[in-house]
Amino acid sequence: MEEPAGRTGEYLCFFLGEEQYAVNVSRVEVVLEMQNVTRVPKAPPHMRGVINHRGSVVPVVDLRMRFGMGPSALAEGTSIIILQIDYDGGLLTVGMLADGVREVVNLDPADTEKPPRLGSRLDQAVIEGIAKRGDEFVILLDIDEAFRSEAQGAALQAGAER
Amino acid sequence: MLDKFKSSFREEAEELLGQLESTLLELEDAPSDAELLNAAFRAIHTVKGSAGMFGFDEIARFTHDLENVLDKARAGKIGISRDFIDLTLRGRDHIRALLSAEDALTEELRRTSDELAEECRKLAAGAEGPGPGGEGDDAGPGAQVPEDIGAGGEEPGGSPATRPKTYFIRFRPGPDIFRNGTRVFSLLSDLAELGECTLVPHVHEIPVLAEIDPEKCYTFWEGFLTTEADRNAIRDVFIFVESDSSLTIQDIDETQINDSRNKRLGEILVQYQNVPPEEISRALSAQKRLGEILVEKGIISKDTLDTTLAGQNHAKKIQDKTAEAAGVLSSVRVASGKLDQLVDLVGELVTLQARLSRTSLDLKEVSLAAISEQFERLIAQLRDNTMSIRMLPIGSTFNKFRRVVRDLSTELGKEADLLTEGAETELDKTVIERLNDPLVHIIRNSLDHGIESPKDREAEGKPRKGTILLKAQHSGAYVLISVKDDGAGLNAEAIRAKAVERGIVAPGQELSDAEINQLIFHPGFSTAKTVTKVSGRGVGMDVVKREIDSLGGSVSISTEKGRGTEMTLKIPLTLAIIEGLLVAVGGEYYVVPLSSVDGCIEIPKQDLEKVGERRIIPYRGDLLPFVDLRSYFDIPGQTPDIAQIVIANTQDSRIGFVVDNVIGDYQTVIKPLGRMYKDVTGVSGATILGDGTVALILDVNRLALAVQTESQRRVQAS
Repeated sequence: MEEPAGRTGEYLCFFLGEEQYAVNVSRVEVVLEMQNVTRVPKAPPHMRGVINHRGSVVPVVDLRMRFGMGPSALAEGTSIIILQIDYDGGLLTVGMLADGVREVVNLDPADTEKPPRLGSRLDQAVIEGIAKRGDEFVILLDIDEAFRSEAQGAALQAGAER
Repeated sequence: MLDKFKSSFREEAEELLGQLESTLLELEDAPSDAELLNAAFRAIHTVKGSAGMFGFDEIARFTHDLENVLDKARAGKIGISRDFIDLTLRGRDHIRALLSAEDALTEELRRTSDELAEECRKLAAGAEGPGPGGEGDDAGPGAQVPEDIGAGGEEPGGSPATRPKTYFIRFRPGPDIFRNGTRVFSLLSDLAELGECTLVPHVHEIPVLAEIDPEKCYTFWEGFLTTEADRNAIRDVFIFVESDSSLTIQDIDETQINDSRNKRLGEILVQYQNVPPEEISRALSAQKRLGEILVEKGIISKDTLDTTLAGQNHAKKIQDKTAEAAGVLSSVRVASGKLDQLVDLVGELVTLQARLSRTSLDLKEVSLAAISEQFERLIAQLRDNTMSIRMLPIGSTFNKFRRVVRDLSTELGKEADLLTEGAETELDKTVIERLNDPLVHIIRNSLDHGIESPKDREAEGKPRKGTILLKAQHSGAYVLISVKDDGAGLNAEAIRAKAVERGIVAPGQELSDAEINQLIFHPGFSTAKTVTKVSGRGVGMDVVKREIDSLGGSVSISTEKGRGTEMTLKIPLTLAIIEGLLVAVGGEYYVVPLSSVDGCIEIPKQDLEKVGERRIIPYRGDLLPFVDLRSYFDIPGQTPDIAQIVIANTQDSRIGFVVDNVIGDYQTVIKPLGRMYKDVTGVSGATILGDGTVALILDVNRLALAVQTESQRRVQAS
């Protein structure tokens, strides 16, 4: 959308609740408007279901629930960000619910800080770093880590509630 | 380009080697069948020739000695003994190894080549001494002293098909044939080796010197071949260039040839060269006289030459016609990747068509509805046709298992025969591929644990030689594949004891026979007292079950102590597209595979409430368990006043599913749910509905199982 320079530094910013997160654009395939998500029964609650994306069935994950922030509100700005992630040793296309998608920004890795040891509700493994933009903080997500498979996900949630 | 040819050679050679293996195994059972021996020789011969042509020198070098052995056997100088079969089989395996090693030949492979070649030479040399029929009392060469004439492919004396036949052959190489490094001359001399052969090159297409592209082939050949070899043997000569060239082989019977001596040239042209009669008359009027009829070979060259003149403008048309008339193009080789693409496309079409029907239904436009219906019919045909292209007879894998049984029984010191039934049963290509490993495992298991040693069998009053029956048959939308042995049967006590020892079941737990049999599918289970090389590492049957489950199939066992065990795999015909019944619960859509739907019944809401916790309904004189999908899947909303129950067949019984609405028959392209949902039970896949939303496909068997265990738990709790 803006600032085409600095490939690796380009991040897509989005909201989960009030907090601002970002993922590297190289992992983002497309941002879709919220649509009818088919629920898969007997699946963990943060796995919201599946959608039809270009003829394939793609799972949709609610990271808010995974991070113990309560389910996404599905308001007007809710979007599905289609991502390519490394899952169980292979590439997988997934959809991620976001409460709002902002913009693509250029973040200099030198400006990002390691996450503080305490004071974050997230497991540190899923945080690549924290960047400061003006007086706002943006949490850079390690999406491979954030989507890691089931058992570890549960542990993550437990850790978040602690 | 050359790489493409090499890979085509590798593909063809793999196929030939596969045929060779089964031929050799058959030959072991029928050592006096000269036709089998000839087939084996032809396979080796073709591999050798082509290997040399495409630069697989090591294969060509090694195969030469193997070919010699087979040739000696054909001449009756070597008896078909077990050792002979052993050696040839090992030779075959070695060629395969060489084939896959390709350029990266290791010292070890070379040494094996030399050793095997040495053995071959010894066997061949040993044959010179005793002379024809002088050895091998038990497995003598029998009736196979053929009246040897040509070099290849003739049938044995005494068999009814020995009369030589005459074929009209037209070989038109693709223009790029030289560029691929093919030596056309060696092809033609191979052809000439088959029998009495007259070939005429047609050089009229060669342009003037200034325009010649020296790398292009402008020539084609026509002629007659009188041979005892059959059509396939002729075809084999061109097997590696067939895809880019056009080849016509036409039967001509003797009387026609003789007739042609007395026929007018024009008539002959019409008969053999498919020249339209009008063309002849036109040529006649232009040329007045076509000339006297010449004798035998003279006729042939002259008339084909004239053909080219008369029909030059129509050469292409004529050729197409000839091919059609002769029915030459009976099969085509297609890369499987293209086939997969086709299936994907048809899948998309099916989805789109569903959308069209739905839209036309919504619009209530009569003319559109008519088009949509017709479209639907066509798509259904297209789908069935496409699927049938992917269908292969399962017999091709059966041959591999014969080898498994042969090698393994030798290794284990047991004796066993593998009988097969229903090899012609057709199944989706991908399904067949994925069935291979599980079947090998089951057969190994039968041999290792089922079939007893010859001594034990005699003590039991059974024949020394055990039998394993591998059988395939269609059953609705499924194929049943069973492996049945006449061995000792499953030992229920041993299984039970082992399961207790492994902590799989509690010591005092009551188990039905069926439940005990199912224990062998438990991960980490193995009853073999000693771990053998073959099976018994405890990583067998659970893997089999997982693989079959993932194919949407099921495994069942029946066994009788002392009489044997039968394992039956129930496999869906295809994985890509199924017919489904679309149902709705609340706002959610589900698809029940139509092949497992037995029927639908209505049930008033109050009746449903009355049955309450028992969850059993009467259906056609039976009492069936049922699941309320709304409560089982936590679907919000109220059950309507009149609900529907879909009755589905499961692996061993029936079960009902309570839904709000049955929408109807629905062609379904199965899409996997993906790795993230791999642990979800009750749903086997997804499909995309006409409006683009996703519906889930119910896994009837798993649901039934889950409900069963749940109700058992309830009973135990109360």
